Amino acid sequence: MSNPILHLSGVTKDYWLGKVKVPALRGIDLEIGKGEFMSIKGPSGSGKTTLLNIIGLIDNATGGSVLLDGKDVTRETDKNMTRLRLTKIGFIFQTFNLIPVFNVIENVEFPLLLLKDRTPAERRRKTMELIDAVGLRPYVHHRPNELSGGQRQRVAIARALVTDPEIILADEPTANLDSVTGKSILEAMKEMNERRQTTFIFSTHDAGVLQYARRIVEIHDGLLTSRG
Amino acid sequence: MKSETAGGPASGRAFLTHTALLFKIAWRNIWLHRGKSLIIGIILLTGTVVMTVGNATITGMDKGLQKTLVDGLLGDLMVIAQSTDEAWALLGNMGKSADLIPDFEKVRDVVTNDPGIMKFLPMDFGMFMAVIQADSASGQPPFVVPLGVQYERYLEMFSNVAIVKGRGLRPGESGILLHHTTADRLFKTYGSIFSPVDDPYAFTNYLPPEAGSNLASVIISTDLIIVGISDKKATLDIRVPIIGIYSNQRIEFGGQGFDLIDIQSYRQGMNYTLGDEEVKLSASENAMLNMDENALFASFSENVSGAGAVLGDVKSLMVKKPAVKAVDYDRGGTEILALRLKDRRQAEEVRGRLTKAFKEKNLKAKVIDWRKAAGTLANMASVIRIALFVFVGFVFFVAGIVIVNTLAMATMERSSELGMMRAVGAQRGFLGEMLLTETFLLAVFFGGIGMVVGAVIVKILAAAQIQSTPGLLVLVFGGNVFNPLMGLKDFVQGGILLTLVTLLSVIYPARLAQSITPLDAVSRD
Ligand SMILES: Nc1ncnc2c1ncn2[C@@H]1O[C@H](COP(=O)(O)OP(=O)(O)OP(=O)(O)O)[C@@H](O)[C@H]1O
Ligand SMILES: [Mg+2]
Repeated sequence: MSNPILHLSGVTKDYWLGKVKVPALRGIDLEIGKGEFMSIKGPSGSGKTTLLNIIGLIDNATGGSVLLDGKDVTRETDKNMTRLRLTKIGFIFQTFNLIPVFNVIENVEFPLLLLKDRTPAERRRKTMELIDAVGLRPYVHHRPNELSGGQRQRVAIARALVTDPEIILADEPTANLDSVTGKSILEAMKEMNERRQTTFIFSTHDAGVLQYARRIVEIHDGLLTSRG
Repeated sequence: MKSETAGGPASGRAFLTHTALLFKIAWRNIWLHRGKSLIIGIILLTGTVVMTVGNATITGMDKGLQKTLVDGLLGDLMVIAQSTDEAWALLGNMGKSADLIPDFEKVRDVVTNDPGIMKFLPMDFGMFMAVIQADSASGQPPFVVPLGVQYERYLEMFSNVAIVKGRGLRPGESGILLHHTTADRLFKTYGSIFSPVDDPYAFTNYLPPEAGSNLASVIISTDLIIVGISDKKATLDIRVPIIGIYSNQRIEFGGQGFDLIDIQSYRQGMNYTLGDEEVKLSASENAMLNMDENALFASFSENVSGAGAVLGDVKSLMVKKPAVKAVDYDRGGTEILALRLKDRRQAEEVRGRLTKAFKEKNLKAKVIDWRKAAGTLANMASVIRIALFVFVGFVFFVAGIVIVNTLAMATMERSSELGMMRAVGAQRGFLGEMLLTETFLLAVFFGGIGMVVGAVIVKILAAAQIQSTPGLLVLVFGGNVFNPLMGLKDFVQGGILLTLVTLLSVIYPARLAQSITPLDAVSRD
């Protein structure tokens, strides 16, 4: 790959359960290019979440290196990691995606407020643009508990995209949704990927979801068995 | 990544955006968790009300106490001999007497030359023993505790004498005004009624209830023979006519009061200089003063009925005339020089000036303020204030514990949400700031209400004109009416205390919040 946005080499992750070492990742080498729409597939406990957390700078690798945009981010400070998450990475979690006391607009706008350097007009424009893109215009003043599961995930997609990150990570984003809603979420993600060239990496158990992926990476027991 | 510009409108805006965000989240969370917020709020409110009202009460008390004592007996400052015991105080330590001020005339000159002084008054205060024919079986020695002053000047400075019987002292007259409690006490212990010399029969208006049934057997005395008690000097017996019985309008507490005696008689009794020369007694006078007590009493203490003339004779014979012509009252032996200032607020400056001047002139005198002069009595307000602080401290301590607990629990409950915020790009400090803002808002809101409620209660209390019961409270109220006081200082103090409680109780929950990692957003269960 000519210019990968992400480059993992020899990434390992060990968990410790008391004195017992649990090797969750055992040497992952992977390159991901700009604009990919990629899925990570594997049985339960194979290390999908662990891998996504490391890519997303939510967790530290035990060994190996992660290059983001050619820069090694493995040993960054917490402050810098946080800043990278804010500016370069977007997250769509399975649950607990949104701030309960904020409505749709406020949730989508939240990362922009953390960025601090946008004017209110810029923020408003960007926020509304993304809310429109995920089709939630009629629900802007709803709080998360006043939205369906699928609507919440759409808010999460809009929120993840609002800072124009380079990568969006989603760990089983449809696990809590019915298959029809799940597919519509994938449609929305794919549309964003095509329109904005944002890289999407998601994990799933769901074959119906998997079919949207343009590249599928397989993981077993902490090792990649297929790079797609 | 956009680089953050230091200073300028961009960073100003960044700060505003950040603060606005914090307040928005905090406010919404307070509302969302309004049950918990209300609990924290009510505790903070209660603490603040207690603190505000308590403080105002004590400040009012302290001011009242100061006014009572400064206006009623002590003056703004007092000059005493340097050698006087540290523990000496005019009030609350009646056993100890002050030493004579050495070089008193020079000390007086320093004081008169100070521009801050409006008036001064030489005073002597100590214990005398009354020589009384002891009918009663009670073995207690009959003490009187007279304050020696020039009466008319005393009235000018401390207008607090209410004559109950008889009259006040005339200028130059020697005699004693018994405090009504002294008269009662002497009667109870010795069975004699001590009555004013001008109006000995007036006792019926002021007869102790115990005397009611057997008037015939009552002994009426119109004078006292007293002898100074001193461990420094030989003292003398003096005979002083009782001119009146009085009550003190301001300083009466614990059923005690001091008697007022003309300062020259006091000086004689204590064997002090009188302001002209040492009193030289003639041989016959000395003989009389050294007479044995029974003989003395035989001639003095008699049933007044029909003895008026005899009494006069005896008096002219026995009582040494103390008022020598052209006496300079401000020259004789003086233990205490009470000062009234032109401006009370300058007490510390005047005190500094006088102390310096005494030092320069090598005068062995020191200046004490009303608080020191009042002794244990002045500390009452401080003691009550400490008690209040302990109580308020306890209330706030409990408040702190509840706040810490509530916030810590809330933080744990919200760990997924907080972790998600971290994952999305909120810095570690942001979570702490969120909690701090939340608590801060609660503190400002409920603490503010607490202070307003406190202020209103104080206003109502002040407006209610609560009357004091006689005794200690009159002294403390600084008058007959309870007058709590609240100043800006109390508000500021309250604010500081509240802030401190808030900050302290947020430390632990904030640390807890900051230990939440982005991983908490995704951790299962
Ligand atoms: N915090 C942890 N402490 C100890 N072991 C862990 C921890 N998190 C994950 N593991 C272990 O690491 C391995 C990989 O877990 P991971 O969650 O990445 O699997 P997964 O592929 O996401 O599974 P699933 O499909 O069920 O979500 C598993 O064996 C798991 O038990
Ligand atoms: Mg998983």
